[in-house]
Amino acid sequence: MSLLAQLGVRRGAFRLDVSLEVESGQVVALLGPNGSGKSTALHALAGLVAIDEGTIELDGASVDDPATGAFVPPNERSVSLVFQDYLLFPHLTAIENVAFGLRARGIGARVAREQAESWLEQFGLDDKATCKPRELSGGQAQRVALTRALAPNPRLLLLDEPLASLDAGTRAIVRRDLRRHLDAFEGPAIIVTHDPLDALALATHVVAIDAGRITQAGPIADLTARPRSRYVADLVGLNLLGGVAHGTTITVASGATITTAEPGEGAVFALIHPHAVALHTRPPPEGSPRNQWAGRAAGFDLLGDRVRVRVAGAVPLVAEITAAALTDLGLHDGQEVWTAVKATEIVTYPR
Amino acid sequence: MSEVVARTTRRPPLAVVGAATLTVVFFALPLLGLLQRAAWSSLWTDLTTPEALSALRLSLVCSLSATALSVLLGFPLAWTLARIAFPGKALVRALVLVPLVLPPVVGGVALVSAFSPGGAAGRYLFDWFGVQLPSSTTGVIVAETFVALPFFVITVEAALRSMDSRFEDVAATLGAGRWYTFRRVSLPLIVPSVVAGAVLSWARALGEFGATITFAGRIEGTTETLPLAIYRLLDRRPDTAVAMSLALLAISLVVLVALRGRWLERA
Repeated sequence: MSLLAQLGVRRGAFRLDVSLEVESGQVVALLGPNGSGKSTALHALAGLVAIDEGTIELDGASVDDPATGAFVPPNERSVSLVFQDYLLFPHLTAIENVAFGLRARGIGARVAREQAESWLEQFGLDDKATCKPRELSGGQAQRVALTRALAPNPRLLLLDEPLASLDAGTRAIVRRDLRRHLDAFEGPAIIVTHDPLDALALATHVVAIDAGRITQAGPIADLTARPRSRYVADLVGLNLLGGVAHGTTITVASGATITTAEPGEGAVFALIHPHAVALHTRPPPEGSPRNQWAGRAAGFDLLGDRVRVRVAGAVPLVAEITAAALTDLGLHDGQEVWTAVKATEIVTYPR
Repeated sequence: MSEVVARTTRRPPLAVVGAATLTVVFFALPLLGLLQRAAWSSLWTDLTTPEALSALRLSLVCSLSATALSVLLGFPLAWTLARIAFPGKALVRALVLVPLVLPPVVGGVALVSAFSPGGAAGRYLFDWFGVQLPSSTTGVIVAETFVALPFFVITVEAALRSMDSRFEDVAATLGAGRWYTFRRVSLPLIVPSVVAGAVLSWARALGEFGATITFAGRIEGTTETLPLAIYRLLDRRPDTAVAMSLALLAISLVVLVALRGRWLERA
């Protein structure tokens, strides 16, 4: 089973233009900020909205193709979608919810019930079979929704922010279980999330989108090693600067320059880990770091005994220092500071 | 504790409460008058006269048929208005609401113009099927449906629109077609409103007077429902008229009380 999709959807001024290729057994995380078009993409795949351009192919057969006019309605697509707030049918019990998709496909009541029972058992929900959704906890409701989606054996499984409505405690447990169930699911699966932790924990591949376009796609490891958008870089906690390289000098948008160890040409990204950024409250004396920029402290994030200082300026950076260093420097918001980075600490790669 | 509550609670505005009390009295007085006016000793004999029984039977048959018709005709219309976008939808919705604001007697005149054997549509009903709606029990049902239908349509349409339509999306992704989705998901979710809409329609049909007398006339045993009989007998045999009124009041109250806790409050 496989999914091959080129999604073009127009919604007023918003344009979604995303291509996806998902093989059986792969779990792709659609990662992006709110309003980036993630949910629209899922709805298009499920057939709840028709695409305006492109194609959607499931197992090599077209299910939506505006060019030929082909459109398989959602109830004939065999694509299960788990909504963010689960949307369990409130008037049906857990087992009736799970059996719904089986009954809808014409399976007899008795057989559907037996199958639903065995699904609930697999998910450790057998004692909740006769509960109405309002009697279930958030984690249980999430599992019932996932069971209901898996029971009809879909060709493609879609999960919209599956963990977003859970509290922090339940989240970790449900995330672990979800990983197990996704591993057991044989077809292609897509998870929409804005939480990189979910993406890292659940997915094999990541497609990062922003404003309707893909900023980066590939296996998880590539994403964290070489982020290609500020959004992804922020998510994995790295400084990402786009610029134009000429030899060992990169000129960024503000006109400031960055000196690197490796020479390059053309449009590049410069990646700087926050702990490679040194902070000074006075212009630093001549020293080994090749890069020094003036800026202003623009915010502090406490991470245990470390502090991330956001520095605004021609080269905006996040510097990670110890809490003790922060006290010694006596830093306060808006204070003039200088950042210094060794050329060898800067990783560059083509944009 | 109670002291704290007493000190923090604002005093109710006396003028408003006074006005509200007056309004309650205004509602209660006519009902009390009806009870006081009733000839309780002859009530049973008044109600079991053949003409009273026939009017009662006719009222129940016609109002229940009109309710059934309202449900049958109203559901597809309510669903269409709630779920399908089409040009002229505002116009159709306005059209559905017309019988709500139209004086019933005008509705009756309109029905005569359309469905009497000489009317625009009635001509064909008569020529092709030999059906003559005025002066027939069917005519009463048509008149009652005309005034009762909007109550069902607007109640059910509102329920369908306020229902989270994503439930229908979920059902579709699980393989359910439109009819299965409606039967297993949408309908169960809006049952309270469906019942409320049906009860409102039925109450309107039961009390229908103006359109019925104008369109179907007043023929004992055929088109004379309870309200028509009450109107006829009020001068000549007021005791019987009051007894019939009490019967209508009792039927309405019984249904209201029976459904109140179960459906109406939820809807």
